[in-house]
Amino acid sequence: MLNEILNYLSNPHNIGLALLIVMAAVFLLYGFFIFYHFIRFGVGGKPKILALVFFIGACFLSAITLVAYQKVDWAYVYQAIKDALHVVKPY
Amino acid sequence: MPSRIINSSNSFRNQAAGEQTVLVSRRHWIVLLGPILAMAVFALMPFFVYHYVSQASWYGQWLGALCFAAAVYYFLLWDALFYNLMLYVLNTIVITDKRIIKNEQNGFFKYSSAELEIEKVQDVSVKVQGFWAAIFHFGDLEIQTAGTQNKFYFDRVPDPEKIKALITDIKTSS
Repeated sequence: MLNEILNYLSNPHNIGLALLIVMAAVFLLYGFFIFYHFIRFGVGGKPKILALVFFIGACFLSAITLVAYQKVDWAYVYQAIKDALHVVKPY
Repeated sequence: MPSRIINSSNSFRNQAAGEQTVLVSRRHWIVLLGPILAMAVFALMPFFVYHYVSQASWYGQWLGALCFAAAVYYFLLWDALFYNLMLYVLNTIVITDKRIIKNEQNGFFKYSSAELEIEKVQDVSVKVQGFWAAIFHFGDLEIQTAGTQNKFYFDRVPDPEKIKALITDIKTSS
């Protein structure tokens, strides 16, 4: 199982995808908590309006993040990190 | 009917049947100033980084990664901003014709609620301290009660004198 994961991650594009999925999961969970608290526990109209603003902003920023992700040359980033790790290795 | 009652449709959890919300108040907006200013400073940081990094020889090859990092950074800031707004908005004082409810949200999973019947209110006092408090009309409200929790304390509420007058009105008419 571990070998399969390492084989999967040896492809630079898959590292980027794995990073995106982990970040998306974290942001989704965090955003869900904020949205849920506004709607469930908010008193009056203000919390609902803020929840809507937050949701629209989160959708907009998600789209920008996805577009930015597409423009990253993951092969170059992966190679640069590997080269940097070779430099810092003590021997 | 108290003279200063403001009819409000603000409903809330555990509201009793026939109980009418008179006022929903939160802390003064000035408590948000610090976090919002901090967010504004953090939001400008990618531009400073761009100013220094755009001259570098490797800038072109790393541009995509830097833009992705900036997008993620702004997403983080957006979440942080609304986390602070959530804490501000969910910390409320709800005054109804029957009781006073203090809701405190200190995190996602840290919440406390205390309520006090209007009939048990013995004394309401207001404290306005400081230059900014006097200019922007906010202060602390302390309610002495006859219940097990003998003091209710609300800090940095807007127009505390009006809230005090409202509580006194409701108590007098109840």
